[in-house]
Amino acid sequence: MGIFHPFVNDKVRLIGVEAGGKGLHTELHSASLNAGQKGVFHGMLSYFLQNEEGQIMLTHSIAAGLDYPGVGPEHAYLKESGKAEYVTVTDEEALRAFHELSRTEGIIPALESAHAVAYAMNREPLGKGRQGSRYRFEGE
Amino acid sequence: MFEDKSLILYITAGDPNVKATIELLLAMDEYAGAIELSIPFSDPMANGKTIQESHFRALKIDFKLEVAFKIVSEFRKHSDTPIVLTDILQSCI
Repeated sequence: MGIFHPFVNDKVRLIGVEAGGKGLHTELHSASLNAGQKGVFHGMLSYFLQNEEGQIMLTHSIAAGLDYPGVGPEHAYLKESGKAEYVTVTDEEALRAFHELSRTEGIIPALESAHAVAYAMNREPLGKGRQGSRYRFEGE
Repeated sequence: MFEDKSLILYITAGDPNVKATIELLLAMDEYAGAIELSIPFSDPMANGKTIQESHFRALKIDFKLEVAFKIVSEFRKHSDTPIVLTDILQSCI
């Protein structure tokens, strides 16, 4: 579960960002926790993108590492227990964040990580920490 | 169940269509001691290429689980040869 692990028992708001692909109104995404149902696949009981017959759907994401119809069962547990919340970011938003972080900080993120960067830059109200308003996108 | 060695045959339900599956079962019945009828799945990863392709062909006709039971019901009108339905947990839950 990546960086969530050391914070699971802390009073920290955990937000997972799923691949929204071309949008959740299409079938071209990989947002298992937001748009999937419970299933058993690849040896896991978790959330999977599937049709009414339980057939696993084809998925899409600009990030190869997110282009998968399921999610690790730890995330399914964190979602169901309310310890973490899960949102989505589209391909386009992730790409914009990729460029923005590269241009402003010289940090080239993976396209997977760029989803989280996009959410942090774009959506999340800023807390008490370092202000990041200069990274806000035009029109936001 | 069997007094001697028995031939057990395997086909995938709905490959290439429902009518053909019933015809194949009836044709195989002459030789088979039992028949394994597999429910097609989108990701038949524990199978080899030939069986995988049969699953993909069956899903092209939008095969549904309940149709497998209808196929067996139809077969039962003609034969009492044992049929083993093979499915995976994912499509049963």
